[in-house]
Amino acid sequence: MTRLVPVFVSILIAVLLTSILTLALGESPLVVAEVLLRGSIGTPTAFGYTLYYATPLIFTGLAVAWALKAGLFNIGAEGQMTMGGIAMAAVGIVLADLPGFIAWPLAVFAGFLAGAFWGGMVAWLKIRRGVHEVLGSILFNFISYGIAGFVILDLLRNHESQNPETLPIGQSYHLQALSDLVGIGGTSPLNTAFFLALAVALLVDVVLQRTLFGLRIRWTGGAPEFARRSGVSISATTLKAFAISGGIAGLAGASAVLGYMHKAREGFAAGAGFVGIAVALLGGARAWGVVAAAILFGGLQKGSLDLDLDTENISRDLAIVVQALIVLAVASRGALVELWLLLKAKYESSKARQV
Amino acid sequence: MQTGRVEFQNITRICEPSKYRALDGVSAKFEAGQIHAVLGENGAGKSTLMKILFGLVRPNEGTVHVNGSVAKFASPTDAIRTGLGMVQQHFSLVETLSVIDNIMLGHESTLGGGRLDRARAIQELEEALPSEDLRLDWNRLVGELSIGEQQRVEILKLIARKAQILVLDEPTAVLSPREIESLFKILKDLKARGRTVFVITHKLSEVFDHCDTWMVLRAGKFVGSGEIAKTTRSEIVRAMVGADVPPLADRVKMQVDLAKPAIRVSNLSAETSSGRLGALKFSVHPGEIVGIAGVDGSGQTELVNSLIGIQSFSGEVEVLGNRVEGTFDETQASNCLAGLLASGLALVSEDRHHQGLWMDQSVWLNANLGYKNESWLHLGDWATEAERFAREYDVRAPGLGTEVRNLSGGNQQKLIFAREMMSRPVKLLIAHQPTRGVDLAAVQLIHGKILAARAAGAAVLVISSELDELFALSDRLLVMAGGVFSGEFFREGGDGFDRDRVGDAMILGKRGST
Repeated sequence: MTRLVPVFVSILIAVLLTSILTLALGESPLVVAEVLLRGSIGTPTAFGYTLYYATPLIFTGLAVAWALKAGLFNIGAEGQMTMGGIAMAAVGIVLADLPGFIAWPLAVFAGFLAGAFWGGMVAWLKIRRGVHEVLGSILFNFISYGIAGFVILDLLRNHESQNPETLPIGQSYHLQALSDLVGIGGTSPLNTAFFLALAVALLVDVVLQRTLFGLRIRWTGGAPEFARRSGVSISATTLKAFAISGGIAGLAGASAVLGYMHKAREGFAAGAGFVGIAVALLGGARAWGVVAAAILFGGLQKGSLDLDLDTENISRDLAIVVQALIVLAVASRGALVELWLLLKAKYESSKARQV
Repeated sequence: MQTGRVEFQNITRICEPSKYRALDGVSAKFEAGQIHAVLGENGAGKSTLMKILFGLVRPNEGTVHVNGSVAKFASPTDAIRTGLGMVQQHFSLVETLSVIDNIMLGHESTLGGGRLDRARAIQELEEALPSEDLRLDWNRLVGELSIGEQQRVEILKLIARKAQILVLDEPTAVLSPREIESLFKILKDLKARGRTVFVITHKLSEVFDHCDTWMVLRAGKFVGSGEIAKTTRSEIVRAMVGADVPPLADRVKMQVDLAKPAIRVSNLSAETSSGRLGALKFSVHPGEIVGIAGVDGSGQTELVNSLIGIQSFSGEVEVLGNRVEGTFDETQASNCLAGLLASGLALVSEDRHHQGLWMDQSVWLNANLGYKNESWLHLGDWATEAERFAREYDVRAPGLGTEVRNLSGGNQQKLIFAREMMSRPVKLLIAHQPTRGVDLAAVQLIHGKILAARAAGAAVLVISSELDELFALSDRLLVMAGGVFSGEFFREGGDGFDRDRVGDAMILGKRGST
């Protein structure tokens, strides 16, 4: 529980700073808060959109958090998500006539494999060639954009459409909208990919906490030299951990590609891979933290859309500012604790001097 | 007038947030111009007391008097101005700078335009030089110096800042016997020039040979002090541990089976950035303890890493019947090591913080890491197992859920030994620095367990830089210097273990290698 305190304090600080910013722009923080809340959780549809926006962030957040556990920084979730989405679309287009019970699981699996391949290559370069994973994954992001462009705009392009998008995937690949299925989420595009995300979160948590495989990953991240001297192969663990991280990120496109657009559109990843880094940092230690952080960020994204209409001087970009402030506050929480201790010590010594 | 008198009055230091009393009402008086030994087990509070003297830590209660007046240092800078200086256990030197640059750093004298006035700094230093043994080549890079010489640079830094009171924290931990002699000669020269020296240590032989007074702390409390000349060794030991230390278990007579060595090495050579090994040949048999002596950095690390197959080498190495390949392939190497561990190797590595423990995890997790092969973890069993280990090895922790970083060094090391020795039948123990920085009671326990392993028929290889430890344990002693064996000594037959001859082998080999 005490672990959560700094996170809440960080969010509080971000809220405080945002309020100051809002005041400086001549808007009332209360009005902004009201717009954000109404827009994100005010109606079933609004909340459905919040969860829809949160879904890819859960995947990418889990992917980054998983890699962090192994002591690796995966900032290539955007590229892995792109590759995964392309793979899902490709399977859904090429094998359009597969029956339903096998179709969408196959597409999901293809998305995982494509992401895992993309992540695995980065890990392989790190192990064999000493390329730092941060550098490797950034560069692989760019390559993935190129491949996505080629597939979407050329190989599988829908020439009928005005939009830069692929042909539609087969009917049996569609993930059902939750409004149709269980009547939640109003008219939002929220779909069963959200449940897939929750299942993956549960799986990540169980694997990391309760299995030897997960323990070895955490061990390699936490005490690599000790692990190595106990017969654990650092390179093999690194490869597996990063590939799985990539695979989880590869699933992130499921919500948009299989559940809503039913095709891959240029830029469908929309930065979710990068926001996933912030989600992982905020969500921190456990998979459920990541889910909570993803929903918070999803809510901010959704709620801020109304700011364009409902306020004079503030646009939807406020969401990005708030996200950035939260991440900065979380990242500097060590310094915050130190500052607090320093102030406390100063106060106590000044009190002692008066006595 | 002599300066350098120090008096502690009722010093109490409470650690937040545990409310642990690192020091509890310590009062003591130290005369100027003497060498004072500050003794105590790990965690007894000796370093904390010295840090309070030096202004690094502030006491919650009590005062420090230097030369009769109350000293309130807000920072080490204050302390330095008042004539205090401290050499920390880990040196703070810039290896890429020369000796004189390191000494000048922080109070540089300059010519016009910010150019360093090295000539003046050297001249001032030479004038103030209290001991000819401190003289070094001022222009050599610190990185090229031996550990002993680097320590001299640290002392010179204090001389250059005109320190009257010098505090040395465990200064001999990393030195060879000869370097220790020369360090104390320097300290005696400092004393002859009227300076006061505090030496934090737990090596009693140095205290008796070189120091004037002693003070013992135990669990944060002042236990006793006095003049060395009027004290016996056992009095001090009793003060340190609070009881008489039981003598080591008797050394059982073992029939060593020469036919099946647990370690067989021939023609082992290796070259790494940190050192090289030259054509080593030796073996270790069931039922014997082979010690490897040598100054740190003589190739011991490379030898151990070769034995467990995690570095590349040439030559033949066979451990517990497994051939160890000198391979570059990390995955293959870890498979090999996993195989060794499964065939009965217990491994205690040199650096317990990085190589033997996962510091920010619990005692119970650390007790079970490495040998459990269940893919679904039965964490309930792990706790039971950890409890068993902790009981048998007297690992003292507030609870099994405590992070191991919060244990004392002795308890950390006991935990490692318990895991390595109790989790599987041990056929071979490789223990590298088994008791470095560990309190006396833990040393005693660990030595007892090592002898028990030998009595049970295990082969043991102990690599240490503490001769006392090697003399107490070894049946056979190999001396390593500059990556080669420079001497072999036998407990029985031959001349036995002779401190001077072993010490010579440690140094001579070094000379031979350069």
